[in-house]
Amino acid sequence: MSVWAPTEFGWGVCYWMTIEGIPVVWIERGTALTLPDGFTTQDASLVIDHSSEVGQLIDREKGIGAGFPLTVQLLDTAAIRTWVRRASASSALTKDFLATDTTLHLTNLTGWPGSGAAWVGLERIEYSGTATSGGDPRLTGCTRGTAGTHARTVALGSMGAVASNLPRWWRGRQVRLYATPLTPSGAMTGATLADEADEIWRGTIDQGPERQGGIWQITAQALDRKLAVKLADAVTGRVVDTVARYPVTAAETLAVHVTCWNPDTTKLWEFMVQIAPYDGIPDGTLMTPAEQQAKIQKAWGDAVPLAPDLTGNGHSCSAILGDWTVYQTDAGKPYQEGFGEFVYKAAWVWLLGFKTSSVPLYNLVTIGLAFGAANLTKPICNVPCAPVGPCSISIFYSNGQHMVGVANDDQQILVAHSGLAVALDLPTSLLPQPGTLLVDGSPNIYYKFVMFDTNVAYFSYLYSDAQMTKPVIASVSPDATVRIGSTVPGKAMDVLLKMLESSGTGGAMGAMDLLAAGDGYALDAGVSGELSAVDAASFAAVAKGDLASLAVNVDVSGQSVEDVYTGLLALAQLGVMLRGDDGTGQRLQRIGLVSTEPGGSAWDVEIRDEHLLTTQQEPVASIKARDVPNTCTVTVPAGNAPSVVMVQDLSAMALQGKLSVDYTVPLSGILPVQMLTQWAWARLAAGQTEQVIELHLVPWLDFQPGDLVHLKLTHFAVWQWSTGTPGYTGVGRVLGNPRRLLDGAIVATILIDGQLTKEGLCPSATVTSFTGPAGAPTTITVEQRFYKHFSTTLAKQGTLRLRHYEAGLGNEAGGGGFAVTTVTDTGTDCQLSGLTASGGATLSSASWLTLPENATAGDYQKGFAHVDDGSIWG
Amino acid sequence: MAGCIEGFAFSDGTAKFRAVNTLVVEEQPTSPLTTACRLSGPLVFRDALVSWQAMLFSLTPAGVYAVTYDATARRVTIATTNGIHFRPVWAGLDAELARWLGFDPNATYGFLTSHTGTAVPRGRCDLIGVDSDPPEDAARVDMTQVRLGRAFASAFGNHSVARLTLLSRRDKQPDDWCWLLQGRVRVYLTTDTAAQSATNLDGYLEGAVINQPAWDRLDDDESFDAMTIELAIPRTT
Repeated sequence: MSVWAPTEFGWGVCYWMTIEGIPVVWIERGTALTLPDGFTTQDASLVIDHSSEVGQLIDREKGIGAGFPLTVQLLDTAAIRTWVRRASASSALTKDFLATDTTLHLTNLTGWPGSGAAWVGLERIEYSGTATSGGDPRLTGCTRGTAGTHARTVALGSMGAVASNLPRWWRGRQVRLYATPLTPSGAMTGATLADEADEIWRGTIDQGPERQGGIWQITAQALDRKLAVKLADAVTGRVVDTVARYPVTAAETLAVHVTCWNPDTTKLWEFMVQIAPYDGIPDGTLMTPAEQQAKIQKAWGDAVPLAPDLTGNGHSCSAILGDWTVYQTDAGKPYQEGFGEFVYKAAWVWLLGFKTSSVPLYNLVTIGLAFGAANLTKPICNVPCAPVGPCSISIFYSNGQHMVGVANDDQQILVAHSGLAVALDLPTSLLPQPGTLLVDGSPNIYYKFVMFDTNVAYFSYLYSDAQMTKPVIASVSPDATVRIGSTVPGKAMDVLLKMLESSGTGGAMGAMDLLAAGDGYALDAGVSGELSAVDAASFAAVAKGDLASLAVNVDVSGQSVEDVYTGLLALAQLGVMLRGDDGTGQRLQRIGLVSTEPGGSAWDVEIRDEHLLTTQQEPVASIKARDVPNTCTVTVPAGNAPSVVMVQDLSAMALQGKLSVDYTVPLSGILPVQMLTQWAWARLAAGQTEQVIELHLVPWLDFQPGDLVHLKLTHFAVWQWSTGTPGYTGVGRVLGNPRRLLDGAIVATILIDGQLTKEGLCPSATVTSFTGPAGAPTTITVEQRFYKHFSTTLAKQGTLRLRHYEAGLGNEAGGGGFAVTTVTDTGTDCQLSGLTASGGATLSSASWLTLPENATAGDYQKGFAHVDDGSIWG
Repeated sequence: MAGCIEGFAFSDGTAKFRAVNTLVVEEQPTSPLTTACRLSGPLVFRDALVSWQAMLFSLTPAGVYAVTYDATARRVTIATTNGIHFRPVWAGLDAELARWLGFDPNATYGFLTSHTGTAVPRGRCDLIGVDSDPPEDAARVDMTQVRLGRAFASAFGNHSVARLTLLSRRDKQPDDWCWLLQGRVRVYLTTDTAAQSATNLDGYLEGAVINQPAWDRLDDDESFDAMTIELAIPRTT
């Protein structure tokens, strides 16, 4: 139940607001209730009198919510004056400040107290001490992300890489407006301020605080308006070369253990040669295979003369192994195996081989190889050397992040990867990984890894496909222009969630926070145990069937969710928008996925004449519904060769002229032409007389965008096409519910039927179990998803009767029914109790229950279509 | 017999909106010591008393309770009829309920068999007289409320409007009876407890207070109030 429900009985609400990173509750009047976690003071300075209505309205042609902005004023109090002033301590960062760091390194500590709060970017940090030892001034004991903020990585070179003891930035801070109930005599309810409050609005500061006369004004944009903001542009650069480079570490060692056996199994000689080819080189240095080869050869040459004969026979290692050489294959071809078919194996970097001509006849050589202690701890090959003549032994290895191979297993030869070095036009270390290289005049190249050396980015593991299954050797010209973008493949809804959550901090904002900084909106993950601003569950609940598995390939660079997803959402009749989540105690404003389809049956709220407000205008107004086209074009961008699906209603065009709509859908893989065609035809088949009405309503009605409501209006401004009379009785889809803050009045936008009436099919539940006798059960258990349906039916009609039938057992027409008085959500199931059987109903393992008997049909039940013939109950 | 005006106690039947809906009594020395009765929904003053009494019976504490209002004394009394000693508990926001029933939330209550309020309950005001015209059809009515010291207006469609003049003695009013004149109220014109209709003209009127156009103080010592209110009564469709 929302805070607005009791306003019908003389209650009111008190608004209060928080600003991310400012530990003050800005409230309309002071309260003795406990403030929310992280907010230490309150200031009774909030003024909402001049605010416009706030809330949501969804654009069906875009599928993106258009949340209304919020403008509030703050009285010129002593509290606000302490915040809108220049910081007395401000120092630049001297090191990158990672999201996990607890020490903040600064240029100086001038003005900084021994402990307190610091602001870096939008984040508020509490520190417990300072230190200057080693000429490194720093704040220590940092508690990150306080007062509603999140720990974020701040890199040097950013304008945000400055710490101050007051906020420097206001724009972008999250604003959250709440309403707490007031009793008729003005008391705030709840054990704490937040206890019984609802979140009314959520967004980010767009402007202010700015001085307006003698007070302060803040203007903020709704959180879902972020989805129209373009993400970071792609970085550009020029190709330097196409040589692969890999990082080396000084700790890497190569040990070669060679033993020569006599025919009588005694050892002739035995040497262990161990080298550390990268000793003295800084960890992470990027080296080409040729450079690595040179280092290994040099180290080998130095180590061999020093290796003793472990058998004690006194053989000279130099005499025996001195002519062994190191050679490499740094860009080998994929191994071709059988029938001319390429089989891609592991990702070898390069090949290390030893050749010798001095191994005695009839002897065997065993070689043990270890490169890096973590990689190998035992000999990996036991090679019978050639019985005559010179011996050649190949050892395939790679270092660091790559695998170590087996010496004589040539079936694993695969050196399929090359690299690409790009001199960046604007040096940055914030490139996506993986990502896409859009090279002038060449097909897109997809890379897995990127490393940096000054202003050059080295890309490795290159592929020709977005799914990264087909390795490719880059064939581009030096100096070619490259655009480095973030191409995100995956299921459509997963990619959308990644764009919403990603912050570049690897999961800090949620399970889908997987993209690089700048490639996502970093929507709030919630603090102090609060739920995320992204209602991921709604995406799974609403996007079902083909849509749930639809694969897309989205280049997010320089694009917004609105740019990318408009076509898909509009065609699928879905919308992404901010809405109060009534599944949470405070009705948190969360971004979720809703249906924008006209019609349906499972409504929650009934709107009647007595709910209409007439103060400022007629309470009911018809507004323009979207056009119904007769041509629909769907474009699927695919590099330089986009695919296009077009459907045309030629007959309609002849009669009405051409009315066209165009959509772009970022699909990937096999083009689901059939699905697109169906969607396109569905767009053409939309009811040409469907109506959209705007209703001015009392505050105490409780519905959200995307909900179904039942209308029972006699107002002359709305028309019932099914009967040809004024007024309307039927179901409507809520497209928007802005609310005036001053009086709580709602301005609802609702999509209703025209000539076509659309009912939902009546759900039917399988009986999963029951207790008691089959003919007189005590409880019946069905799937949990039926709880809302059955509980709503009971609440709407005052009685719940369910028809019983047994599918496939010749009892489809029904075997009696049950009257139900209690519907319970057990957490895992929906349980029906208070049962009275009728008509000889007897449960079995094939029992189903559905809404049934016309005699008990009320307005709610009548809204469902019959499964058999499409007729309506009642 | 003159009429009265009664307000509504709001409740959603859940843990939210605690105030003005949960009556708590503590008995001595039985176990459990306290019994809390939360209204299941919004109820007008007299129905709320009946509901609390019924809940105190159904929740089976040791006491057999009576929750009554004396229109002559203008006091609410909570009592046991089987000699069990108890005391009302006004904790936190239940102080709202104390005032609504005319009790002092700050007083110390001992264990007795009966407790009577010390003030006129905020939920009801007995009237000397009510002057009422028959409700008129109103396609549009305005409602004025006061919130945090600011006035605002909204309006309803499809309502009837009744203009009522409520006459009361100031010493018989609740201390802050202005709170009784907002939101949804029920005005009893007489002792008739049925709703007003074409065949029951002296029945009660129930609706939202949309206007208070006049408030006069009468008599030389201004001991009488004549409050004119406009009540918007929803018509059913």
